[in-house]
Amino acid sequence: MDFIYFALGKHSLLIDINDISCVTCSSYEEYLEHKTVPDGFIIEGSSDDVALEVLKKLRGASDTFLCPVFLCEHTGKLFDMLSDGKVSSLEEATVQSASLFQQQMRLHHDIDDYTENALLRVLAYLFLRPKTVVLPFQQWNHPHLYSYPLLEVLAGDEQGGATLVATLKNRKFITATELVDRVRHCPACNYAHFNFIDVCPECNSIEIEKKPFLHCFICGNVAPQEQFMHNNTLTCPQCMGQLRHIGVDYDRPLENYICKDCDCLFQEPDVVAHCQHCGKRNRPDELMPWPVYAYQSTDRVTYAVRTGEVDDVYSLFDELQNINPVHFNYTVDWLLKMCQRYTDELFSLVGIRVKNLSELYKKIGRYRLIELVDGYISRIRETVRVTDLMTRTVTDVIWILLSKTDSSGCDIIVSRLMSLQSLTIQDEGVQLECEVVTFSAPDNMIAGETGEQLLVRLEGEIA
Amino acid sequence: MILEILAHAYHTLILLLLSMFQHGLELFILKFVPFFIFLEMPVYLLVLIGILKYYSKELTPALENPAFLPTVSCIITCYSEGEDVQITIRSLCEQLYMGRIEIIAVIDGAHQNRNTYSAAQEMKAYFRDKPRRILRILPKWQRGGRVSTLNAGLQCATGEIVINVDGDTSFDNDMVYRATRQFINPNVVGVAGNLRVRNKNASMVTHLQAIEYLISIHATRTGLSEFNLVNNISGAFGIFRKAFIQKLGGWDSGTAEDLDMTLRIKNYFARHPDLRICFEPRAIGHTDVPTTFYDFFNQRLRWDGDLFYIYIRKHYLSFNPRLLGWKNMLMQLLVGMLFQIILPFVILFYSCYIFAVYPTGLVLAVWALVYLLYLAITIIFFFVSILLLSERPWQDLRLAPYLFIMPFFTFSMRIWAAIACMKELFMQSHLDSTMAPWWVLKKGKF
Repeated sequence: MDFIYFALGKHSLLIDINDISCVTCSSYEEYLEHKTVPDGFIIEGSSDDVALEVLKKLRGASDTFLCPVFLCEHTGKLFDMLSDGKVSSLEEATVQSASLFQQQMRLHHDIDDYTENALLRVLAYLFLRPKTVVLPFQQWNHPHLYSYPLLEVLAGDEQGGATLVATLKNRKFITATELVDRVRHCPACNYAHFNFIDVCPECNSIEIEKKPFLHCFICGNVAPQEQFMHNNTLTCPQCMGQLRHIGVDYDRPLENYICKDCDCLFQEPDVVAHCQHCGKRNRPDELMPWPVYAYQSTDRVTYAVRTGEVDDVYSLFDELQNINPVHFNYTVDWLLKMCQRYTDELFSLVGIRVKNLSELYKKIGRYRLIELVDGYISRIRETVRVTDLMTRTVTDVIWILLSKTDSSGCDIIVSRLMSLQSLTIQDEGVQLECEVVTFSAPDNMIAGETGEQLLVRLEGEIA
Repeated sequence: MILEILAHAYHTLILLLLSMFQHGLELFILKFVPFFIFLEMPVYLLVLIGILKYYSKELTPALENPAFLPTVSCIITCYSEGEDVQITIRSLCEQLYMGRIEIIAVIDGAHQNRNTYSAAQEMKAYFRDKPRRILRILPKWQRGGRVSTLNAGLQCATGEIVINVDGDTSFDNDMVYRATRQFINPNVVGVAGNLRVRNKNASMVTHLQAIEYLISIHATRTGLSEFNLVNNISGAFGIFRKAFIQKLGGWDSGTAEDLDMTLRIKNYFARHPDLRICFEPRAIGHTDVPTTFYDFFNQRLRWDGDLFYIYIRKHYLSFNPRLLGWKNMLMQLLVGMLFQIILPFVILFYSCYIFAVYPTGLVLAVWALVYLLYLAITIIFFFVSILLLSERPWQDLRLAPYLFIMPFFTFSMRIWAAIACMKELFMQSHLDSTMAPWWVLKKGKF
């Protein structure tokens, strides 16, 4: 076995052991000069910052991200997330690496696959370490207050933790295990940094002051307490009566705050959340709650990594919360029969096929394609109604069944769906290109045609 | 028959009054009221001189130190007051005092007294945005009596000054400020607070008690305080220097722990002649008093029995000039022992005796004379209080019509005190008090 031992400062490990070759490096740059990829790494010495930097570089590089990396003394949340734990000797490191090597034998990807596909790197890492819990890391200066350092380092995308989590979760590669926190994001800029301020409910001024008010029972005068105070006694400025006992001579009416700008009296100030990033003032209930979970990988990771299904871009369309195609066919068939029997029954069908997926895949890579498709999907979801049914056939056509919609209504939907395409334009000048076919019953109905026959006929038009 | 007796009594009274002028005032006085002249009169005069002394001092008030703001811990002894405890807590929270006030509501037997406990809990919200005011609620699940309640509160108290108050007593908003002014003098270890009757409009007996409180607490203690002779720091409202009472070991078991504490402090007076117990007439608490004669006499049965218990059973060794000092010992003998324990018996037996020996008409005439004498004394003290001391003179003036009943009221209290002493003497009634459970009281040493 070959190990690289990063002795960054003082070092304590006995590295002269039979059968294990161990090279000592004092920096990451020195390691790069060796131009070999060892079976594992051990980091020791120096400050936490330097050690963490090396650890991040190892996990971020396509050739070493899967390697076991052990620590000798450094501890902390980030070290726990990114390393394979602590060892006290070289033997211990070899023993602990053994199971990882066995698993690694089952991976058939080459370094180019990894370099090009960030998602694959993440999945391969999770595949080798199935017990890994992807933990959020609290960072006061992070826009969302929480980051997912492991995913970000593996994917080489420092700010993309949240997006990566969303993608992995949508595709069911990870599942939430524990709710760690709930933060709130600004609806305008998505940052989570707020200053909560009390303001006047009338004019929204922040120039408000808490002023205790007194109500004199003798003459009914209501005024700020300061006007009553004279030499450690309370004397009503209006009737000059001395107020000695709360509840007997005087009381506190409800008004407690006074606005210095509009002089309005109020009991409870409004609270606004002032976004420290974009400056927008939000009401607290306008903020978007964002749950922060810890995640665990699912069986799908194994399946995806072993079969290479990571590249199955079409499977992304499952995000449309499709119904079973058999059920979909049955519903179309039933609706056709309804239209034949009852004249007031109507519905429309839209079929979509993305024709340039493979071209996009080549131009922008899988990782960005996934993001692009994710965005497109969420927009389709916003365009159609809850009552509209969707399915995806094995031939990768998306069907949308628009109930109670005639051909003119269907055209509106289609034009909206087509306009969505323009939102997917990338810097390279490419975009998702879709072909669409529509059908409206009873207008376009052919007598005697069943649902299945109809779908096959329409699919032929966009093949 | 009755009319005959009354007519006889009237004629005798006229004769008696006329004899004043025919045979000279001295003879009249020596014949009828020597006891009054030699024992009661000096005390009344002393009190009046004290009041005048206080009043003259107040005319040119010395500069107070407004920066003296020690932390004050108020221990509220709660039992079954229910929601009334909220008034107490609120009035303490609303003090104008600029220093820190820690309010410790100790609920004795919180298990049975859930209402009081939850009423106190509800007040926590009231303190949320009150700076320098802290509410601590201390539930004592097992009932242990007043003394254990006070000592538990003392344990938790962080203030330099401790105020013990009852759960049915509320306070004027300058109470803490006024009370703490006394402690600027480092020799002051205890301050008796002034108590007024909160429910005085409830019934006749509450009106009478209001007059009694005004004369015997407000006026008398103001006068006595000028000579460092304050007879008692009431359990419903006492203010102490915490370090001092902690040295004394806190409150001692048994009933009448307030009088016990006062006497134990006074036991240092001979050795440390500078120590002082003051009365602050402007530190005012308002307390609920019994509203029916039945409840009133029951309360006094306890109080007067407890006096006997404290003076005769527990503190007879305190009547020693080497402990109390001559001045306080004489006063304690005169006012405590003689007036409050011996005099009731004298009055009881004397009344029975003259009824048995002299014609009823003569007895009634003598009594009418005594009534007029005590009425005069009451009226003098009442108006002196109102004119020189009261901060609510108009309110107090409304009590004036009840002054004419006061001598009867005082007389019946004296007779009742004799009965209370006898009950304590023969039945040890202090072992059966509502102030603590019997299983606690029976373990007391006295």
